[in-house]
Amino acid sequence: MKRVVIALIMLLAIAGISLYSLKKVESVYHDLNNHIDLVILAMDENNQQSLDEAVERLCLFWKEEESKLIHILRHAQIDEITKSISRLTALAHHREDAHLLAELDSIRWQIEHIWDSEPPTWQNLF
Amino acid sequence: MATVVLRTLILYICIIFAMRIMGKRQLGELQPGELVVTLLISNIATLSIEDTNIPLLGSILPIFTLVSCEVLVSLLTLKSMTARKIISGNPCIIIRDGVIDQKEMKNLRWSINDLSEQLRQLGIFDIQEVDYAIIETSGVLSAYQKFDYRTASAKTMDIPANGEPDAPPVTVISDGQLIMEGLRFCNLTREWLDSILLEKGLKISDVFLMSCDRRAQYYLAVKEGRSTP
Repeated sequence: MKRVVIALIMLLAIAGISLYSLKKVESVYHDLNNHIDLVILAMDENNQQSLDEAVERLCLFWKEEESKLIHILRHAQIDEITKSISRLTALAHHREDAHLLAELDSIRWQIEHIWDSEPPTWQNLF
Repeated sequence: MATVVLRTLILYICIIFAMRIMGKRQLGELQPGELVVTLLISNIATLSIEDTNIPLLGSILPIFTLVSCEVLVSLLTLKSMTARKIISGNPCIIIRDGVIDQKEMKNLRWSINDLSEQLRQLGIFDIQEVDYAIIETSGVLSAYQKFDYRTASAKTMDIPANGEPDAPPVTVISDGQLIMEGLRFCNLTREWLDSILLEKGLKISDVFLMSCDRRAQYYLAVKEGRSTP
């Protein structure tokens, strides 16, 4: 009976960790999109200082979240986003707007893909 | 490289823990479901040892999910006969009243060579000796010999028990280490053991193996290089 209790506790813990990871990816997905929107807004306003600040905030946000996400996601998926984010500061500083928008779009697509593939939907299960 | 080594160690500990939770049943004869779980666990563990891109949780969680399900399914099979039939299957009789059930053998895809080999492993070299042969759910063959070939027992030979305590011998000293559980099992005391060792001029650390039964009959093997005076 002791083993059954341990098994039940483990299943509960596993369910808890799974839910936490799902919530984590969801919150990163929404927050990252918000940061991207702020960068685009600063770019539209043509304000260099606020653009630099928005990109810096985005970079800091990702750096913080990346260390948590690597425990629950395949590293390759996260590395792609990190690669794109590492280019943003230089692109914003030199006002390479087209490239900057392309990188932001790429990040948006990648995080969306991660979020789409995480929930246990029929499509993801099969 | 250090990461791979540490990840391997962590998974090793997790797998040992998982096997302990699955219990001794898992380590003996595997039922079909248990075999699947064991194979899956080894494969899942290999994935994240080989590929550091996969988070460790990606291996640990599936391993513990499988183990938990296995424990719960074992409980279910213990409580429900129907569940036991569905999950583990039924034992199959392939020799009945000394006659081989060829249809059953075909169903099980067992050749006559398989049957002979399994019987030989049970110490039966002539198929005529077998009255009943059953393939257990674990795939192991059990055989019941005809009366003429069965090993004689005290009961069949009408030999009465001598009334002395009857229990198998257990290890009391193993490689110089005293095993108190063994002494307790034999209902013997440390004083008794000390008197035996004193009589032989030995210390516990000199003994390689000492086994004993409830009649205080013992076997003693001294470590190499140390002899009794």
